[in-house]
Amino acid sequence: MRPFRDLPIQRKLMQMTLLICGTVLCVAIVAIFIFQVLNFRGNFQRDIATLAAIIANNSTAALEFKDAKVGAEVIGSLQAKPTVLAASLLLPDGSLFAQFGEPENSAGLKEFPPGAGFRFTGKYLLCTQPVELDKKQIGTLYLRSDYYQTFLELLTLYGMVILGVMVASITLAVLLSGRLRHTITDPILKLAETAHIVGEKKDYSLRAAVTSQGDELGQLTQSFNEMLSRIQSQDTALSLSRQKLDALVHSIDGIVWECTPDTFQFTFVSRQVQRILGYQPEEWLANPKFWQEKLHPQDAACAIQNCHDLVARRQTYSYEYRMIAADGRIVWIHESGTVLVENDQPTAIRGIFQDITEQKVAAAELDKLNMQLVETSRWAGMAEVATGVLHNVGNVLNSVNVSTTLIREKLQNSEVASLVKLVDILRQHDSDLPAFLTADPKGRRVPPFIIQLADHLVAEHGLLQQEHNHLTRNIEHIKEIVSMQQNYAHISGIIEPISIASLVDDALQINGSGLSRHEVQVVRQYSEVPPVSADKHKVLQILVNLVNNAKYALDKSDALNKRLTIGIGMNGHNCIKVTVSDNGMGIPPENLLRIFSHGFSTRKGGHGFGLHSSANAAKEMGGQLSAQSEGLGKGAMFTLELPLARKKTESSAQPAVEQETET
Amino acid sequence: MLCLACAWAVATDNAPVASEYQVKATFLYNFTKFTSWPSNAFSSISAPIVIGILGEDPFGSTIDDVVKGEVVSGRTLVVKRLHAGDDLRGCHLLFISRSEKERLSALFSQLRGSPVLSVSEIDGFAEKGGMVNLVLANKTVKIEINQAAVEQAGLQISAKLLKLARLVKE
Repeated sequence: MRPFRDLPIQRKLMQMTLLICGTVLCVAIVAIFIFQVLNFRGNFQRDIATLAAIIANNSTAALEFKDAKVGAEVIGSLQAKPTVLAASLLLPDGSLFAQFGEPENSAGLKEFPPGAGFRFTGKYLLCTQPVELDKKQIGTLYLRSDYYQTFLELLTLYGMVILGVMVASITLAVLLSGRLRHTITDPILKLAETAHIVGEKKDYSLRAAVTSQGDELGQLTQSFNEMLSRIQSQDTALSLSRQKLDALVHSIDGIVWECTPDTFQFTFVSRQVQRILGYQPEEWLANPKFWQEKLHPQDAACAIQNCHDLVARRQTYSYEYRMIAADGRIVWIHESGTVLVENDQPTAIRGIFQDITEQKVAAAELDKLNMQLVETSRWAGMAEVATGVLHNVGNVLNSVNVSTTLIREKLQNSEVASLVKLVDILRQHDSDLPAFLTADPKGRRVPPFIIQLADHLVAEHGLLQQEHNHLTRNIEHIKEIVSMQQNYAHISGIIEPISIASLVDDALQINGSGLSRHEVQVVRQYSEVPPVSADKHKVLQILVNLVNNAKYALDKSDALNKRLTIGIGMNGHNCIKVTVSDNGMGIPPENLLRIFSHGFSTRKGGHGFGLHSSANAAKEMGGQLSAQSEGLGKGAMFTLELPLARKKTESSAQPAVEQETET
Repeated sequence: MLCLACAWAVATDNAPVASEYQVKATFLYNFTKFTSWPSNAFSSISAPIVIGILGEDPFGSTIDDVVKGEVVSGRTLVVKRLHAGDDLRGCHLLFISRSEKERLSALFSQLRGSPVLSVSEIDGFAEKGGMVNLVLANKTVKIEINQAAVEQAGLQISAKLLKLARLVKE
């Protein structure tokens, strides 16, 4: 059987009516019944008392006149009362005067209350009634009546009546409530039906029929209708905003998604998944491991681990990996997501997948270009170094040329020919040599000529010796320059401890001839610094570039006292710095920021990647290059900072491959 | 039970024989209990009920013993012995002795209109115009009542008493 609260309202009302009627009836009947039962004894006793009093009163004359016959008649009238079983009328002396039914024996008489009164014993009510006349007791009436039988009869009667009343009342109640309950149930049923239809069809334009105006049901129906219209408008607004939101979510250039934080099962992916990866959102959501399965095999383990770590950290995150699209393409995905936390437990991850394949390709190309640029700049740097070298070599060759010209001139005008002429003269006078030397005036001039010639030759020899020395030194110098160039030319990317001071000296020497030609005073301000682990070639390239720039700036300057100052010192504990400053033409402030950008040059014929590549190189080594200038004509200072212990840099575009060092 | 029966037998068999007038005296006394007199029959509220015995007194002191100290309806009882020629109107109950048998009609005319209950043991007393007659039959005392005569005198005899009596008419 269904519990009461699940019954239809009609049956509920019916049952309630029956219950109420039944309960009220029962309570009333029980109350009446209890009242009657409680009163029964009293009433019965009162009846018997009245009866006894009447009999006693009627028997006075019979007693007084000792008329036993009449006494018997009087007492015999008790037979009209069936509940009275027996009655005895005794004289004051205890003798029996008259009787009805079984006369009481002495044992029976003892059960009766002494004097006037009543006693209930078992089924019987015993009544003792003195017969008095003029305040004198002239006899005693003993009455035995059966109240139990009467009580049973009464109960039976009541039972019948109660049953009848119950049946009649409930029948009446059912009939009446059957008629009346429709006024309550009909509007409710209509309302319920409307609500059911609305719930089933989701059609909020329906309205329940209003059957009454004033009562609560009418108000309820009206409220329901108002609620429906409100829901209808809200529903419209909701579906509109939902459409908007859907359009927004699905039109974002990226896959908007949501997934569980532990298994990465997706609960939502926007339609862009179709465009970007070629998958249907439905198939993605249907497979709990879709994402894991479509990850690029090389990235899968890393990406999944990464994701777990990020969930553990509960932060907003982003990282990149590759996925395999439906057509087999490799698509680079930039995933950014947020871990949703509720009660300190991650509940979901929401985020967006963006297709960064194009950027990745572009970046790869850029990397390639950059490498090419680096290579180019390296060559350019090398060319710059070579230019300096050639310049120096040219300068030295100049001296060599002067020396050779001098030697050639000396040899051309040599006194050796005079010596040969003298030897010829002496050979002609071989026979009369002593005479010739003493007598002949010509011969007499020979010895002083020889002395003079010897002096001359000694002097000439000394000059040639000197020039030869010059030449040898210059050639040595050229050798040195060339070997230094060779030393730097092909060594690149080797990280080794280097003495920064010797590198600076080399850089100065490479530019040495230019500096001396331009009458530049070079000031060295070196402090003691530990060796730096760096790419020697790059550092030299930077330094040569800086010295070259300073030389250029001084060349263009009108300053009389041209000075190039190079300082070496510590910058903090882990960094050294090299400053290259000049009092040349300076840098205008608007150029100060641009000088490191690619393609910028103030020189005619400058390629514009000197400082740019120098700055890049400094950055690659974990250091930096900066410039300071008060303005035009105020000189400039470039500072190169390099770390002592080189940090690991992410970019290892140029792998450190061991190369043979050329000697 | 046997005891009670014996006592009953003694009471019914011996008493009348032994003392007929004792019973009759008691009857007279009892008549006062079942008879109502009009209020003008008494001089005052506490005036006694007077039992008159006219003529030869058959009771002796028995009647005096019976009424002595008794109170009926708040009144004491007084026994008066009367003789022919005495004023009978002061009595409330008048026992007319057998000696007055010949003067009955004169007595009735003398009592006419007076609230006096006339009682006798003369045969046919009630039929002759008396009110209550005590008849000895089968060794027990029976009562005959002339209800018309009682009513005529303005008296009222209780129905309980009437029930015991044999009602006779003139």
